[in-house]
Amino acid sequence: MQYVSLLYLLAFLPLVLLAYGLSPQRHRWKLLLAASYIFYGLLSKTLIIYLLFSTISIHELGLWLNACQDGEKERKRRILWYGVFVHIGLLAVLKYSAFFLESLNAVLPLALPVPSFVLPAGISFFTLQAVSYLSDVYHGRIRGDESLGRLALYLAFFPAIVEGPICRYAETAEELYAGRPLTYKNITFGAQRMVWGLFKKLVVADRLNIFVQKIFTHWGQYSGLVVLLGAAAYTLQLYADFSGCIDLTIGTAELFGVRLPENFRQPFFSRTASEFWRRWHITLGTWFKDYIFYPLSLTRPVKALGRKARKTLGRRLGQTVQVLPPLLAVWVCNGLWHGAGWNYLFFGLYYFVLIVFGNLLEPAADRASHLLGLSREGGIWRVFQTVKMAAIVVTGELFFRAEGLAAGFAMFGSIFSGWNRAVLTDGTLLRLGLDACDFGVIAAGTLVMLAVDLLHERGVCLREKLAQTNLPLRWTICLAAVLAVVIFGAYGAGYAPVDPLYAGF
Amino acid sequence: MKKKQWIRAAAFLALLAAAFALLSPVFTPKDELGNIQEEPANSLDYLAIGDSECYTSISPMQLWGDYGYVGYNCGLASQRIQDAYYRLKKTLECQTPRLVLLETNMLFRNKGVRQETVTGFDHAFGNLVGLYQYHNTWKSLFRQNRASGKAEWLKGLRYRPDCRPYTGGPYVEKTEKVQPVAAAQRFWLDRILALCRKKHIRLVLYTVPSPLCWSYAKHNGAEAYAKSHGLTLLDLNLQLDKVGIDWSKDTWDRGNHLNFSGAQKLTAYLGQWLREKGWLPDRRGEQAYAAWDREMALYLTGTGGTMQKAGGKGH
Amino acid sequence: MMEKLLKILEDINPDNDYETEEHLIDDGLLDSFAILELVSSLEDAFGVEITPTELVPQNFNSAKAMWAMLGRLQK
Repeated sequence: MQYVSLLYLLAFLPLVLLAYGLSPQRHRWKLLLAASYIFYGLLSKTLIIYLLFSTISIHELGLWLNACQDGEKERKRRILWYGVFVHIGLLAVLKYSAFFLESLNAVLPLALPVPSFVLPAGISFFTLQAVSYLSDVYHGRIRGDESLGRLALYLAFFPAIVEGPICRYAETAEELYAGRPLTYKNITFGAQRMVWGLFKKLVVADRLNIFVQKIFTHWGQYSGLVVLLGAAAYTLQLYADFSGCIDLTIGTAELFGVRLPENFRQPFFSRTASEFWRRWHITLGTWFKDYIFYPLSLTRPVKALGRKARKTLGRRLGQTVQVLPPLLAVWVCNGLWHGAGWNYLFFGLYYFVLIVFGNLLEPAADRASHLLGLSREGGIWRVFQTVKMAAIVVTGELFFRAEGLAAGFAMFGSIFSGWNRAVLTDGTLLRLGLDACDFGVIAAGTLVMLAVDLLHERGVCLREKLAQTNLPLRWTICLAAVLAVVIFGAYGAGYAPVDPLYAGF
Repeated sequence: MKKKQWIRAAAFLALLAAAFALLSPVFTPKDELGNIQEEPANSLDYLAIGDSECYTSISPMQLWGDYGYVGYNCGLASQRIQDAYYRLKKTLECQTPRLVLLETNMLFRNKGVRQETVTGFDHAFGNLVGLYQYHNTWKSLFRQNRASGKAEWLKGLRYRPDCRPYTGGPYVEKTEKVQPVAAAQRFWLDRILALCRKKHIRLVLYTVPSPLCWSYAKHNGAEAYAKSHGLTLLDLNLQLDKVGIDWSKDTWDRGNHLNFSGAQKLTAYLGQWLREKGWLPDRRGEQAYAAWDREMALYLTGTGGTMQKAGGKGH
Repeated sequence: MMEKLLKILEDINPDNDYETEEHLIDDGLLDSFAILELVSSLEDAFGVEITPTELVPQNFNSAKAMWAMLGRLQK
C-alpha cells in the first residue's frame, strides 16, 4: 500500500484520523504507533523485523548512555560506536554488499557469490534517524528515552518512514507525543498541502516519467538535444516527485497536528552549488553536516591539518584544506547513500569538486564582478547564476539517473557530438511517449509550480492567503485543484504506476 | 472542531462528490463497452465474458452461420473478474441474454492478498466514479477520435490467423491437487452468479484449451466452485480430441492463446454442445436479424471464407 | 575581550551585524565553512577546545551566546 493510492488516501488515512479524533489525548501517540506498524507491515511484511531491531537497539543503548557517569567518557564512546557500527553496518550489508562484491569480482579474478537482499522500506532514512538519536544522547543534547513505544513512533511514524524528512529527536519527539487534537485549520491546511503534493507528483512527475524512462533506458538511440531534454525532464521529474511526496508527507502529519521539518526551500533559486544543497533535501544535508562534517572537522588530526595549512598557505587556502577531508567524506556518503553504484559515487564527487572550487573561486568572482562593473546582486549576475546552476544541476542529474557511469559519460558526450536542433521542429519529440497535450499539461504544471515557488521565496504562505479569501472563491480553487489532480493525473489505463523516486534510496 | 466547521467540511465534500457525479458521464466514453453498443437493444441471446482467452476462442459469427445463435464475445485483455462484473452489469442494461459463458482464466488472476486489496479498492472506486476511471478522456477534447479499429462483423472475436506452434507435448495430467478460486475472485464470481440469477440468465463456466494458462489443479478448483453452486463447467482442455485441437496449427503464441483456426474448431464444438442443450433459439430467417446475414458475408470475406467443423476425426 | 570576538567575526563575514543579530545559525547567516573558520579562530585566539558537543545553534546564534560558551570553556 503506497502513499499515492486510493486505499491509503481514502480508506487508511480517514480511518486513522477517525480513530485519532475519538481517542483520549494521552493515547493518541499510541494510536499513531499502531497505525505506523500496520502501515509498515502492509508495506514490507516480514522485513518489519529490521525496524523493530533498530528501535529496540537504540532504546537499550540510549538507556546505557543515560546510566554512564560523567567521568566514563571512554565507556560512552564505546557504546556510541557500537550502536553506529551495528546500524550503519546493517545498512551497508543490506544495501551495498552486492555492489561491493560485484566490483571485487570485476576487478579480481574471483567468483564470489553475490547476495541479493530485499531492502526494508525506508531503511536508508530510519537508520540515519537512529544514528542521530544515539549521537544526540551521547553528546548530552537529549536524554535517552525510557519509553520503547515513544522511540518506536519516532522511527516508524508512517507519513515519514518511506521517504523522510529525516527528523531529529529533539524537534520531532514533542510533536509526535503531544497528541494534539484535530483542528479545522490543521485538517484543511494539511489536506491542501497534500493535494498540492499529489498535483506535483501525478500531473507533472509521473507524466514526465514516460519521456524520461524512454530516453534513459534506450540511451544509445538518442543524442544531442534529446538527451539534454531528457536530463532536464528528469531533473524536473525528480523535483516534482520528491517535493510532491514530501508535501504529501508533511501535509499528512499536519492533519494530526505534527509538524515535520521542511525538506525543500525552492532549490532552483539557488545561486551556488553549496546553496543548492541547503535548499534541496534539506534534512539529508543537515544530517551530514551535523553528524559527519562537523564531527570530522573538529577531530584533532583535522584541526592540526588546518593549523598547518593556514600557516603555510595563508588563511583562505588553509581553511579550504582543513575542510577537504570532512567534505570529501560527506560527499562520498551523500553520493553512495543514494545508491550502490559508481554513477552515484561520481555524483557525490562531482558536487564535492564543484563546492570546493566554488569556495576557492569566491574572491576571484568578486574581482570579476568588479572588473565587469556588475553588482553581484544585480539582474545580469543573477541570470548568469541561474543558467550556471541549471547547467550544473541538470548535468549532475544526468549522471545520477543514467544506467551506470559509462552510460552517463556516453550520454553526456552525445549531447555535444550529436547536437541536433532540428528535433525541436521535426516532430521527434512527439514520438517519445508524450503527445502535444501532455507537453501542454507539463508546461502548465511547471508554470504553476514556478509561481508557487516564487511566492514561497517571497515568504508568502499561500494557504494563509487562501484562508483569507471569501468562501466561494476558496472552494472553487480547492475544487479545481482536486479535479485537476483527478483529471490530469498520469495514472490509470495506459500509465504504469511510478513508485516515489526517493523510496528506492 | 466546532459544529459549524464540521458542516462546512461536510458541505465541501458533498460538493466534491457532486462534481464527480456531474463530470463522470461527461468523461465516460460513449463507446465504453465497445462495438457491442452497436447491436440493437435486447437482441442478443448469449454473451461470452472473460479475458484474452475468451476473445480468442468463440466466434459469434460462426455460431450464427451454423446454428443461427446470436450473441457477442465480450472478452477483454487481462480483464479482472471484478471489472467483468461491472461491464456485465452495464451490458445487461441494454441486453437480455439467456446465457452467459464465463471463461475461467479470470478466476485465477490473483496477485496476493495485499495487491488484490489495493487493486480491488482502486477498481471499485473507478467503477463507481467514471471520472476516475476515464479521466484520460480529457485528451480527446483536443484530438480527433481515433477509429476503434475492430470490425463490427467480428462480434468481439480477436481475429488472429497467424500461427506459432506449441511444442511442449501433452499437458493434461490428472491430479488430485486443487487450486481453489481465491476469496477475492470468488466474491466477484458470486456477484456475477447472483446478477445472472436475478435476471434469469443461465451461467456456464467454460475453459479454453491452453497449455500455458491451464492446469489440472485449476480445473479442480473451477470444478469445485461449479459443483457447489450447481453450475456446468465445460473444460475443453479435457476434450482436446473431440474439439480437434492440433497444437501445431491452432495457436498463435505457442500455447497461450488459440488462433483463428483453433477458435473455429472450438466454436464448432461449442455450437454442437449448445444445440444438444437446446438453450438457444435459432434466429435465422427472423426479420430483426437480417443484418447478421449481411455481416456474415463480410465475415467470410474478411476471414478467408473457410468454415471448419469440429473433430477432424469425425463428429 | 568581547572586541576580540567581534573582530574575528567581522573578519570572517563582514555582512552581519554581530552586536544585534540573534539568529546567525537559524537564519543561515553563517554557513558551515564560516563556522569552521570561526571555530579555528576562536580556538587559536582564546586557547580553548571546541568539541562537536558545543556545536549547537544555541552557542552560536549570537555573539553573546558565543561569549558565554567561551567563558564556560575557559574554566
